[in-house]
Amino acid sequence: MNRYGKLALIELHRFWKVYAALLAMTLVSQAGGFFYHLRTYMNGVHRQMAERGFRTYQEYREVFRGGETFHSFVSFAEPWFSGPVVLCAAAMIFYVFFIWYRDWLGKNTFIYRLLMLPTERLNLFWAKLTAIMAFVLGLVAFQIVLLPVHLWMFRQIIPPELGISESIFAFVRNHRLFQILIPGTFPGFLVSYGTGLMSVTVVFASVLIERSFRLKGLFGAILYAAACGTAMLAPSFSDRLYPLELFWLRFGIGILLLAVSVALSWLLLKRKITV
Amino acid sequence: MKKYAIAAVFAAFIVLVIGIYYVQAAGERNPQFRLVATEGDAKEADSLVLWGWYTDAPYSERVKVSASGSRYYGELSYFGRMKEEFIHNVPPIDRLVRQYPDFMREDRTADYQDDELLVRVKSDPWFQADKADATRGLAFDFLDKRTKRTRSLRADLPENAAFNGYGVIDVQRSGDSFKVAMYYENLRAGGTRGTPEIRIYDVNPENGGITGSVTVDSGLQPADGQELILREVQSYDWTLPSGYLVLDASLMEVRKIDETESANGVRASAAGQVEVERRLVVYRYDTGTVDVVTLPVEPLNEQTRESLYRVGAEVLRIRLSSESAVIQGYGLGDMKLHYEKTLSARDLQAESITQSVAGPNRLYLLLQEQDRPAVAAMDPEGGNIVFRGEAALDDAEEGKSASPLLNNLRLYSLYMRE
Repeated sequence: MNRYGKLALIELHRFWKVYAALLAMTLVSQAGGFFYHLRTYMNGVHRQMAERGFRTYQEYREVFRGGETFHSFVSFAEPWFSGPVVLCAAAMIFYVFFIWYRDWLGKNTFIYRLLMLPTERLNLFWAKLTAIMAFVLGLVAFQIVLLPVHLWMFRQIIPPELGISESIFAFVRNHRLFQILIPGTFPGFLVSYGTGLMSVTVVFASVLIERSFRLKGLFGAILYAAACGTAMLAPSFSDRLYPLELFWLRFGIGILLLAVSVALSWLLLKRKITV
Repeated sequence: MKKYAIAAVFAAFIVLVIGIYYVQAAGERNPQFRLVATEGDAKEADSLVLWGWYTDAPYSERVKVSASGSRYYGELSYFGRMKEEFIHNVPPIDRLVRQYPDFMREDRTADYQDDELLVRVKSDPWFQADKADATRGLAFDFLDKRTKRTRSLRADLPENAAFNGYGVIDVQRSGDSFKVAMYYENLRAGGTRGTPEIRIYDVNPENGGITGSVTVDSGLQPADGQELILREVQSYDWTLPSGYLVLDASLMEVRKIDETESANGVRASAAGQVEVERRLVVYRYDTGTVDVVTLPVEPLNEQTRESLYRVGAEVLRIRLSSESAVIQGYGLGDMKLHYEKTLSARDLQAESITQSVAGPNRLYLLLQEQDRPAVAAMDPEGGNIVFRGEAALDDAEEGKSASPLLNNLRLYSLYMRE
């Protein structure tokens, strides 16, 4: 456990600068883009009001379009809002591979030192898996924290006559991207991110296959990942199964793939992996 | 040690933020409604589930309202949503899926059931080794309800070159054989249709042999420029045994309904189908006789729509506009007009009538009051309103102003709770 903890800390530490940059980019892009858009909108409103001699926002609303929602303003501020989320997701997908390859391809072949540590080699696998999941969930949590901040900014800048502020939950439920990022129910969240966890172990196993057998391993890795993907998707092609049966079958397959990927990774790390 | 502390804070941040988000999300609820009886037996409301949308700008959410409360799609659990997306909201089929899941997984339809058997019949062309063309036929699936054993059977239908499309519209059991009502149609190039036909086959369930057949004659023969349309009038649970096959037969004529001439002399005309004759056709399975009632042809305007329902032992013809419902009740037994009633929205204490829906033994009218949806249930035999209910704010919403919340609720249909 102690070794695992230390390795996990190393993995977290090695990525923190990039990770902090991703968080900062999300904050600046969303808050900055949203603020800029809200200010531009209000400047336009004030200019129109001055030109037409309106004294209240209500008068403006009666003539011009008003009563837009937080969701609408977020949509107008795209891609500054969803863009960083997509970029962070892409960065995490890239890092699922890079977290292994940097140890081989970086300076001083760091994997040599990692594999020589007097500890169970599988701890290395758990540490990297922990780091990936922590980074992903950290991004989700950071986004959840940012949403009320954006809503607060919206309420501060847009007067109630011109803007309708819905709840964060209603916004998330109805936003194309955020409803995927933050599923509507907690079991849905566990299923989504559990599937993500299983997928990461499959990718890790594939990377280790490739690292163990090099060129031949590359084909093996692609084959393994494709076989896992097919196994996960196969039940969907049956129209004989009821939804709950389909769910439990997929759940069982997911658990099996997770176990197989971990076992395969353990075997490869212990017996086959070369530096 | 400092690194451990930072990692612990990071982990706690993740758990707390996501945990608090979901705890708060679970606590967020839309206004809760309930169906309450305002007239008649309150028990009538117990079996009703009205569904529609609750709109709180800019979002709308699916909602079901019953006497026990309201249920929003967004407030369902993960598995609840899974179930909700799967069920058909067609109670006869949903009930069969619950009772006989293994039989129903093959194909979530059924055509006939009694105490012994559950039967599904599909019109299914298949190819045989010695024939170039597909053989038209019927594929039967039987479930013995007692033993839970299933059996399949294929029955070849006689060739009928006059038609290029066919389908099963009704299945009944008659002694040792099954009667299968088939709809035949002939779709021609250019989108026109030949005269359709309803034919009833006697099928031996042991060997799939066709032991007899009869054509149901509506007595309507389309002339040139006319088209015959035949529709089955189904009851709420069409899988239950019935002695009748009820058809709605309309003779339509293509007529020029508008002609315009542009400034440069180009003439344009619009044509539409106009109903010239309409009949209610009832085939009696026991005697093999056909009874026909000519229905008065009354042109519909843009605000009026017409429906035929089979409720209990009556066939109800309803002409519905937002202001009124004109209902004619024909007895299946004697094929006579039992009553004709006109119910205005005002009679029903509503601003408008939005929809009519048939239940197993009631005709329901969905109503919109000034600030809330309501429903009225009509006894099909006498045409009397026996129940009236309306959506009300649930007791849990005490202290809230009901009117603006109820105004956001629109209910478009209903089904019967099992």
